[in-house]
Amino acid sequence: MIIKKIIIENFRQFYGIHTIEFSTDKEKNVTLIMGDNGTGKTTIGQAFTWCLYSEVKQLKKPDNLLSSKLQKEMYDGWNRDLAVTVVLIHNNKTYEIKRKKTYHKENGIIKDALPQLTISIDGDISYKTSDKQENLINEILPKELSEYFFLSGEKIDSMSTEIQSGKSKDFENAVNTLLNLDYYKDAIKHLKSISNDYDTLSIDNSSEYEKKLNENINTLLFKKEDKDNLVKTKNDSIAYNTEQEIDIKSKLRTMHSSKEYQEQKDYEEKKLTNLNTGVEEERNRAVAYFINKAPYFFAKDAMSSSLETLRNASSIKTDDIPEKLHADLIDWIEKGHKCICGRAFENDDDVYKVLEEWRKIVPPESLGNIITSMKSKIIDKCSRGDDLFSDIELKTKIINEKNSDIEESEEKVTSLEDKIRDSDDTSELQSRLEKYQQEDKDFYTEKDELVQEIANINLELAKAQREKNELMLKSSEGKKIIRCKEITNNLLSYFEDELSKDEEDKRNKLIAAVNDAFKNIYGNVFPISIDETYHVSAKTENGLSPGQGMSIVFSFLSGLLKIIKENDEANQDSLESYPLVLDAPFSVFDKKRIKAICEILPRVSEQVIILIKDTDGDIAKEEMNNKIGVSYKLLTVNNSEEETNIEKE
Amino acid sequence: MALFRQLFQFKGKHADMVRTLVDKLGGSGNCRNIDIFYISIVMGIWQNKIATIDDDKKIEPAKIDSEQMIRYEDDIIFFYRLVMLSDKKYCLSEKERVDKAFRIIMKPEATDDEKHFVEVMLGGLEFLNAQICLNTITENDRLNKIKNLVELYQEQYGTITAESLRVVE
Repeated sequence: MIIKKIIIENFRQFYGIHTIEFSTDKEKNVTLIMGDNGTGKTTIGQAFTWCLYSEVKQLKKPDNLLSSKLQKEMYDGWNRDLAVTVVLIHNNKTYEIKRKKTYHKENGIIKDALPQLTISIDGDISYKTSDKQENLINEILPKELSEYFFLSGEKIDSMSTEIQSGKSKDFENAVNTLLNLDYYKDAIKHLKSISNDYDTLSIDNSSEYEKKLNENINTLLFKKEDKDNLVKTKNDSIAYNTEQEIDIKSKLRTMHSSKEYQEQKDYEEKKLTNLNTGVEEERNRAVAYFINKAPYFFAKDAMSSSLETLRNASSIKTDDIPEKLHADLIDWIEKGHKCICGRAFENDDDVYKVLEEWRKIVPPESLGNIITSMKSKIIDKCSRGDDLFSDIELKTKIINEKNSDIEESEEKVTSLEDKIRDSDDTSELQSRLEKYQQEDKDFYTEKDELVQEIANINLELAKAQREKNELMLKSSEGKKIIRCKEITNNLLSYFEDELSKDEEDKRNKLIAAVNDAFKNIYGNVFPISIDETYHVSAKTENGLSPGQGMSIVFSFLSGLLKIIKENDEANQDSLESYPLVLDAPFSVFDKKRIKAICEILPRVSEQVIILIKDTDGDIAKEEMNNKIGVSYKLLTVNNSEEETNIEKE
Repeated sequence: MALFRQLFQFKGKHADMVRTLVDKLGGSGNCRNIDIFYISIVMGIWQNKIATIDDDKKIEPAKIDSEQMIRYEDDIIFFYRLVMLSDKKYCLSEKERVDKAFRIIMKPEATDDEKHFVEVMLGGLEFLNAQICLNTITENDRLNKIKNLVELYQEQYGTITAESLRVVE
């Protein structure tokens, strides 16, 4: 399917008739429609769905589609049409689909008539009854699938959210229909019902016993159906609960209880206490350095100056005499005529002479020894003050760093206190989660019991069937029924096998294609998996970001379209290629991602129509330049959102 | 002799200053009156500042007991000699400065020198108090003031080290 053009007449902002011809060039397959917010990009998407399915989403008043400018111009008695025509090519035929609605104004009130649909195929208008027309559109593009090809920003966002929350049911329907798996599944369903019908058939002239046997089989089948339904109900309940559990868990992941915040606060406060203690210790050390070293550090100049004075002092002898030896001691020894060793002496003895010699070099007669000692003390004490500057500098640096950590930690504590005040109460959610989990356990137990009961019924049923078959084999009519059932069951097995093979093959191809596309868009970050029910998921440690979720949606569509295209090429009649109409697809992506998506989009579908705001459009133009077949600009008239013109660029 | 081996008392406002300084610098529990006494001496020499004894009897004196004075006599004599040797304003003659430091020290005629020594110390005490205690709100402020003081002295006399003195000798 390729869309050739759309003609919009008096549809919302589009006053009058406006035509957009889309690129049908296989190489330049992108049509770009750019416009600021409020110029009518979404309206174009809505015009498509209204024309094809008489449905307009994302509109507060879906009935009020007539151009507001026209509504103001209308006088009583006037009739005016609103119409959208989509011209498309499907299976080499040109379809012109036109939906029209006539509005009439009377007594100041505008009333609308029911919409009329006209379809022409290669110019032939032969589909007159509306049922047939709607069916025809559904054959071209089934309504339930259209939302995957007329993708609004909101739809992309909701699919992305589904993937992020771990539930992606939407994809299963899309895959089944698009990959033709529905045909298999419908056939299997039909054959199963025929097979069941044969179980209840009986031959016309059956005996009382056979009749009872049939009744028993019917009862068993009824019971089985009843139990099957109960199992289905349990499964539905389990699925519902699982969905709720996922929702709650997802909410809980983003919520923080006051308890969690309190724990973080306690940790931060402990850290703060340690930091404060650390600062106090470092400060005390610095002060201790100051107290111990300042007397020497701040005396350096005095020491230097004293040494100079001592150097200049003349007649100073530097004999090696103990510092505290003083002339007073010599006076005292001479007076007592007795040496400190106990030896007595007289004034003319040698000892006396030695003492007199000493008198000349000890204080107060000579200062040499004291001065020498003073000099050496000065140098020694000076060294004790040498490190004070570097010590204080180092300690203040450490303290400043710690103070900065303290400030940061205090801010965190304040912020956590705010959070504790405003924190969510998770206890209610937690108890709901536990309730669902408990219910699940019960459901599983009940389901197991039901499955066991069904197994018993099946045994009884098989036994009754065997008995019935044995009886039936005695008549030719019975033999015929058994044979028909066998054929039906063989067909059923064949379809089940084929479905299984085809499905597995297609799913594997799909997984590879989706991962390829994701790699192109997002880089090789993590693998995307698709299970038997087409549940799309990605294993990441920290959950998915919105950008990643959206990238997976694009990757999924891209992968799906690639498989469709491959199938299409292999079997021209089996599958149709679809255009991709995207409304504001880049709103949550950064420039790098937009570039990656621009590169991949032209390759995923034969026709890509992008409705985009101006700023993103410039990037798209730059990145897809050689792929853009035609581009349009939406411009408001007189800066009013009431009327928009479409200009081809 | 009178100064070095007996009870020393800071009197009047100086007693208050000593108590405040010991309190403010005593976070580590290691600051004593005698530590303030030492630091004050060198601050007085650096700032070339003297202050007269304040004999305000209403203020309880801050004391360094005689036992402590005797124990630290050598250090006190060392700082006394530094004052005598380096204070060119107090005594112009080099010979006289040496005599005051070594010959007259602890003799009855050293009374004026001892008074001068104490006045230098009190001048330093007032300077130290102004630098460390005035307009200081937090402990971090105080540490920053100490750092500023050390940086200022380092800027002026940072080149003097034990090694540089040894080389000259």
